[in-house]
Amino acid sequence: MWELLISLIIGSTLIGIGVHFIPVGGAPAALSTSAGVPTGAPMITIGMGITGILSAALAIGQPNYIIALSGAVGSMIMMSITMFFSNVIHIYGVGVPLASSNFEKDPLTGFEQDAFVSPGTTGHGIPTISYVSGLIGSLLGGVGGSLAFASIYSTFSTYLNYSTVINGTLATIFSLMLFFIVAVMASYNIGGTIQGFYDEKFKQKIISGTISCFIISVVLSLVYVFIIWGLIYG
Amino acid sequence: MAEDLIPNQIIMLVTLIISILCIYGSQIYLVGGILVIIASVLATAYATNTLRHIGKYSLGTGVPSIIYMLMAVALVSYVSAILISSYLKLSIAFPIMGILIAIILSYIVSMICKHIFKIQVEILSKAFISITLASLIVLISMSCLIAHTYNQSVIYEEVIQTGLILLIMIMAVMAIQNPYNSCMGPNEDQYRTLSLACSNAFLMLMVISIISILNSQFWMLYLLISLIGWIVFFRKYVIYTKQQAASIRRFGLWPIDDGDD
Repeated sequence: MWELLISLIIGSTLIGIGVHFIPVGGAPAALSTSAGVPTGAPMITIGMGITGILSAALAIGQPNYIIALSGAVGSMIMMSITMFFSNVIHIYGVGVPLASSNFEKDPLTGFEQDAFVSPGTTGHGIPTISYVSGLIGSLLGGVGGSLAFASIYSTFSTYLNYSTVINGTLATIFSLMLFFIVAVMASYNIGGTIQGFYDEKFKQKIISGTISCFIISVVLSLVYVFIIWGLIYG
Repeated sequence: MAEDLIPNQIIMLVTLIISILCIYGSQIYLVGGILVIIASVLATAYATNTLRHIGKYSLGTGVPSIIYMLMAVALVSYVSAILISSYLKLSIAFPIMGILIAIILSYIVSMICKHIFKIQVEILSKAFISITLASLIVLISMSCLIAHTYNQSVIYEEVIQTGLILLIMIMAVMAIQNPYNSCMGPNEDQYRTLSLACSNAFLMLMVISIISILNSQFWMLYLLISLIGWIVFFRKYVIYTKQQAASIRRFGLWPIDDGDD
């Protein structure tokens, strides 16, 4: 049970940190007046969590690190496809260059941002450094979610006499709930838009974000361990 | 937002009392399913009405996120209530236990929001607790319609182990959060939002009553009731929309005085 508690806390804290890395633009980004993924942080994180956990569930029966890797790869593929097609629509559909006014120079490509930001907006599309940041975020979120999935699944399969399908269903439900709660709490901490780890806002928010995600994951993990203890011995 | 024509306290009292009685009556032959349908429609209206109040404030992210998080809290308390009542071997305690755990968990969540994220909204705790309670009642009543009983071990086998609970959860989120999101704005009105909420709830209950084919031979009746309810409330919604769109339709301009006329 201690093993389960610790891996749940680590997993949901990783999810909470990963949410901060994802470049989120919210509704303004859907109108091309702000950089980032054009939806809210909870939506994109829940989508990422569902794909990650489904691809982790495909690797049931393998060792734990394979399950974690599989979940991470699933989340990263979902995230990169979302960001890529958001960029395609921004470039060829709306007709705006990819730029953000939150930083002056992209450290990877070296492109100056200021000249390409339309007046009155804070950028559009997802620049290279934000794209990389989104990949890092989905890696952390996927690893966290599939870590929780693997630990819950292995606890169930050790102590309960259900079939593989029922164990997998229960573990999927429980680990998705982690995404639902932790992602929303982290996005309350972000409060609006963020452009990845190169953004000034990230440096202000990450410490309080980590602490608050840790607290909420401790509370949640205690409830979870209580529930799973009840499932096994109740 | 126009003033409330039906106060939130009255909706809360009516929902809590009638829904809990209806859930306890879900085992009755033939009538049980109809009672549960009433409970879930009432709870959806209650959740949407509370969302109208908390949705005015900016919490830092979109309105749907509140419902997603609180629905997950409600689901966690639902599962723990099932376990506690099966540990006590007392199936009558299941809805009450779920309500108690939901109040405690949502209070903790609202305290974290208040003191760590510094969200300064007065009605935060009250609104979070209300939405969690309403979501919990929607979850319990929809799963009672599938299992055709409130016995926790039957619900555990029929709803949770098959994974249907995730479907119910997503459908409840859609039914609760869609009306406010689609009606919000300066011209938002309680009757219009709540009639859309009721019609959404009936739309979701149509799907649930088809799923209940597994356990009940009256699924046709429940499907018919949900269909009639959806038609009635959607017609009401269209009538209210046409009434309130009149001032814009005639002049083509947004009304100056918040659309009170």
